Order: sequence, then C-alpha cells, then structure tokens
Amino acid sequence: MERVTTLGNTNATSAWIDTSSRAVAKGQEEVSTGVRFTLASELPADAAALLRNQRSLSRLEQFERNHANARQWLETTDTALVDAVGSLTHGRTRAVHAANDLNTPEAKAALAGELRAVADELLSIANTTINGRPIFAGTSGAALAYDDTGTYLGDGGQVVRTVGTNESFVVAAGGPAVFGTFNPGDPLNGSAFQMLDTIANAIEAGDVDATRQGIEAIDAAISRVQLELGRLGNLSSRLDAVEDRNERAQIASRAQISDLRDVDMGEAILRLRAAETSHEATLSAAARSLGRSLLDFLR
Amino acid sequence: MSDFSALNTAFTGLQAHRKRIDVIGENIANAETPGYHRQVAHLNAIDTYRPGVFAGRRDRHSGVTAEVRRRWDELLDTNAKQERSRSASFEIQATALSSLEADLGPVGEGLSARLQELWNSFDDVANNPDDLGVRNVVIGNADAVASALRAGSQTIDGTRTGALERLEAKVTRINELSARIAELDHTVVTGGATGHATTGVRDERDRLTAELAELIGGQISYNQNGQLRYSVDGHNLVSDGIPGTVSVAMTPDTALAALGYQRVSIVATSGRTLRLTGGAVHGGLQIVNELIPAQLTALNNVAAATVNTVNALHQAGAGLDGGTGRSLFDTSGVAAVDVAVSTDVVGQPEKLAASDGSALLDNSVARAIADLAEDTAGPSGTHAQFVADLGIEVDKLNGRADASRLASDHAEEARQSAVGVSLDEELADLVSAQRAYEASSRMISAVDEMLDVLINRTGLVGR
Repeated sequence: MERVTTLGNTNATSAWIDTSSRAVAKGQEEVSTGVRFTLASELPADAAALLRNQRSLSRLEQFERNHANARQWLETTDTALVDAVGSLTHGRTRAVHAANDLNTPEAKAALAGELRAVADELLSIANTTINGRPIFAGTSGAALAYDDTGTYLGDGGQVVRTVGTNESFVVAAGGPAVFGTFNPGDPLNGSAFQMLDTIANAIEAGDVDATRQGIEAIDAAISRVQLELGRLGNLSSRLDAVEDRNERAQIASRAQISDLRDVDMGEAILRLRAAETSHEATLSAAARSLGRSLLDFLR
Repeated sequence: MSDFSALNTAFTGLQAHRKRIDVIGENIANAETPGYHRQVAHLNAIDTYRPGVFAGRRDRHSGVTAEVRRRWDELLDTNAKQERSRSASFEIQATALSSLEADLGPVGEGLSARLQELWNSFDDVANNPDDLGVRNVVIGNADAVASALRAGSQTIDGTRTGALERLEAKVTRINELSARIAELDHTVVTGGATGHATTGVRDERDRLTAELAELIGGQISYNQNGQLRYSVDGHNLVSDGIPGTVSVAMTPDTALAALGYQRVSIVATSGRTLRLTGGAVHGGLQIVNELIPAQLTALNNVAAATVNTVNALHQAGAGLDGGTGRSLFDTSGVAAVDVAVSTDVVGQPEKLAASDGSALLDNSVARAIADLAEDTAGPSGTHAQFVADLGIEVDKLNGRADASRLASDHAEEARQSAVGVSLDEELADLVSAQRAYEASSRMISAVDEMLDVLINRTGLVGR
C-alpha cells in the first residue's frame, strides 16, 4: 500500500502549486505582450514560418521602394519624351512653313532661327536629370547626356530596377534610341540636333528640296520617340500590375505574420481565466490538506 | 515462577511503550525534515523459557522489548538517486541551451533583421548608384551584421565559459562530498559496532550521497556492516571509508580545435577518463563538449555563408572609382567572432561595388547582392535555419528534462512513501502506545494490590 507521508504531501502540493502558477504566468505573459512566443523553442515550427514570412515581407517592402524609384524614372522619361515630341512637331510645322519659294530672306532667317531654337530645346530635354543624373545617359555617370555640339556622352548601358523576385525592368530610354546617333556623312539621318541644324541651313539657303527631305527626317524622328513612348507606356502598366501583386503579397504576408505571432486576445484571456481558476482551486485544496492531521480530531 | 516476575513483565511493558512514544515524538518532530527516515519501534515478546534440570521446574521471564529500526529501502533509495542523476543531467543541459536562446534575442530580431537591412540597403544603392549617403548606409548595415555575428559568437562562447566554471565548482563539491561521506561511513561502522545509535548519521550520509548522485551519478552498494561503496565507472569515490577524488582534464580534440576549444573530461586519480551516465557534471560535459560547439559551428557557418557569398559578388564588382576585387567583409577570418567590414571599403563609400564594371552607374552587382535576401541557401536562409534548429534543440531538451524530472519525482515519491513520516500514522500509533503504557502501569498497581493482600493481610484470621 502506498503510504501518504507528510513530506511527500508537502512536496506534491508545492509541485502542483508550481505547475498551476506557471500556467497563470504564461497566460499573463500572452495577454500582456500580445505575442504567442518570443523564442523559437516555444513553437519551433511557427518560429521558422515566422522568420520566412518576415523575410519575404521585408523584401516586399523593399520592392515597394524600388517601384517608387522605377516609377520616378518612367514618369520623368515619359514627360521628357512627350516634350520632345512637342518640340519636334513644332519644328516640323516651321519646316513645312519654310518648304516653298515664297518666303522672304528675313522670314527664312527667322524660320531657320526657330528650328535652331527647337534643336536647343531638344538638347535641354535630352539632358533631363533625376537627382542630377541625366536620364538619357545610360549607366555612364556622365554629367550630361549630350554636350553643346550634340555629341552623345553616355553609354549603351541599361538602367535596371528590381521590381520583384527575379523580375527587373529597364526603366530608362537610351539617348541614341530617342535622339538618334551623330552621323557626319548623312546629317539628316544622324542625331536630331544635327538634323534640325541641317534643315535650318537648308531653309537659310532656300533649298526647298532639302527642306522637304528634312520634314521626312523629322517625321522619322517623331515616330522614333513615339516608339519609345509606347514601350514606356507598356512598362508603366506592367509596373502597375507588379505593384498590385506586391501589395496583395504584403497583405498576405502581414496576415500570416499576425496569425503566427499574435495572440487571439479572446482566447488568451479565456485561457488565463481558466488557469487562474485552476490555480485558486489548487491553492485552496492545498490550504485544506496541508493543515489537517489526526491531531485535529483527537480529543 | 517468582511473584515478582509479573511486576517485571509490566515494567518491560512500561519501558517498551515509553520508547515507542519517544520514537513517535522524534518522527513527528522530523515530519518535514528532508532526508529523514522514519523510525519504528518493533516490539518483541521476551520468552526465556528454559527447561529445568528437574522436571516440572519452570523458570520463565516474560515481557516485551522495543527495538528501534530506521525504515530504509535500498532498492527504492538507489532508484530515486539514479533517476535524480539522470534528470539533473538533462535539466542542466536544457537550462543552459534555453538561456543561450534567450540571450540570442527574440525571433526575427537581431541578426536576421540586420541581414535584411543589409540586403535592402543594397537595393537602395541599386536605385541610386552614385549616392554616397546610401552607400554609407550599406557600410553601416554591413558593420551591424558583423557586430551581430560577433556578439552572437561571444554569447555562445560566454555560455560555455560559464558552464565550464560551474563544472569546476561541481567537481570541487564532489570531492568535498566524498571526503565527508567517507567520514560518516566510518562513524556508521564504528558506531554500529559499539552499539551507539547511528540513525542520524545514516540520514546525513544518505542525504549527502543523494547530493553526490545528483552531481555525478554512479553506483552505490552496501556491505553487511552497512558500509557504503560509491563508484563512478569503476572508480571508487567512497570505499571502505576511504574517499577518492576526481578532477577536470582538458585534452586537445581535432573537432573542437577549429573552435579554439579543448575536450573537457572528468578523470580519476589514475588519470583515466571516466564515462559518466548521469548527474549535473555529465550534463555540464555535454554542454561544453557537444551542445555549445554545435551551436558555435552553426553560427560560424552563417558567418562563412555571409562573408563568402557577399564577398564573391562584391569582389567581381567595381566601385565608383572603377576599382575591382574589393571585399565588403574582411577575408582574414570567416569565423563569426572575426567578422568585420573590410578596410577595402570602410569609410570609403565610393569603393563599394554596385556595378559589374561595364559602366560607372551599372547596378547589377548591387541588385545581385540584394537578391541574396531570397536565397534559402544564402546568409539569411542559413541564419533562419540556425534559429529554427536551436529552437528545436531547446524544445527537445526541455521535453527530455520534463520527462526525466517526472520519472525522478515518481521515484522520489515512492521512496518518500516508503520511508517518510505520516503524521496521521504517528498519531494513531501514539494513541495505541499511550494506551499500552497506561495498561502496563495498571498492571503494576494490580500486582502491588495483590502483594499488599499477601503481605499485610495474610495471617490476620480472628484478630
């Protein structure tokens, strides 16, 4: 027969009180911190999942910053290209105006001047910058995309932004793709600046045929810019889609993290309450059994 | 048969029950004393009937004696000690590793956050390759990663140093205990031979043996004189009343040498390494030889993954000054404790490589390093594995410690149940002893009255 001894009873009672008060402490910790665990050993599988989700959330948040940067590049480039089309179109109307024999020399000089002004405007558009960095200069790090003579100072490098996992966009247009390449032998098919200067010279010289050829060259230049505009527009809508996807993934990640880490308050309070009740019961049972012996009943 | 023998019989009853009451008093006084063994007065009837030389002669002394015995169960006692030593080993291991885990910080903070910040800042450099401020942030983040790795390594190393110090203190205590137990053992034997009460000494010896078992495990056996032999893996800590000693030894070990550690072992006086099976010292050895080295190796792997992977990408890239082949992290040491930002780039943000060298503002290298965030075999992935593995290990050890503590508690309960004091039992005994005492004294007065009749009233007929 198992004997119940006084010391054994004391030890067992203190062990029970210890167990139940530990349950209360754990419940209190859950309720007051609001998290289910702080150390991996408490819930190893959930901790591993939490780390994975935190990693992907942090990455997604960085992607969001990358999107903002990519968007700035796309929009600045887009504005520059729209301006370029405007300038070229203006140049074209001037050239059309000049493409006949009826203009006086003064008018011709004025029209030629206007075309040169368009060339200057185009040059300044070509040197558009973001934070001091010329957007049409590729990855060269040059201070200007084109110098005063219209020579391209940039390189063929692509400006790339990471917008998602294994997903990157070329967010800028290269100068030569938009404004053409300097061509000393065939200035009309060379750079836009060269071309406009050549047309201005033709207008001054009253060379109507050359002016007409120039108008065709301007048309070609406009369609070149519009091609780039189309590409950027495409990219912009793809970026929209990527941003949407990122946002949804962030929400999902946050929900996961919250599910893994955060305490369900109602449930936690209920558990705490239950632990407290059982602790109180343990204490009162202990108070009753510890103080009793046959001594109390012997007369 | 003498007329006075009845008086004598009653007197032995008085003595015996008086002794019972004394013993009950001592039991009640020690009801809550740890290590106290209940004493029981066993009553024996005295029957000294001897056939006389002449037939019919009867010379009979009768009565009762009480023999005090200490309740003790060798099997339960040994079992409780063994279970306790097993559980002590697991408990100390679980405590050490879970406090290490707590020292390394909550999940998702510390190194994992620092690494994430490093990858993200590389993306910021990719977005603005010529921005020196953003580049400085990267170097600062790399330094934070390096210092988190160093701090982690120091925490792990500190846990081992602490465990080693405690191990040495425990070995000192073991030697103290074996000397003290040997002394007590001597007293038990000589006291037993000279007929002195040795129950208190035996209790003390049991208590100290229990402490010794909790520290180092081992085997206990007793000979017929009640003398104890305590041995650990065949090495006597106490034998024939002579104490033995153990000491801590450090020996070079190829596996631990990489971490700058030596294998710690417990050796006998002869220098033989003892194979322990339980006890806090066994747990301590597990901590310093197995658990901590495993964690440090794992952290070193994280460090090596960080330094090597990042450097491999970084060295292939070019800084704003066009220079290549530079390291972000110092390559002289890839152990976690040595990780530092390389002097190639520290204080020189322009030398941080973002470009693959094809153009000044190319950002492919920065983007490739930022992509390490999602590489499960990369630094972040390796570190997450480290955190999860440590958590699982701690959980496993906690489970084992809980289970072995439960087993130890049960064994102790069984021992306590056999040898402990129950107040109810003592009080019931007290009532019966008191009654028996009263009855014996009544017996004496009865004999007294009989003698009174015989001596004072006999022969008074007709007076």
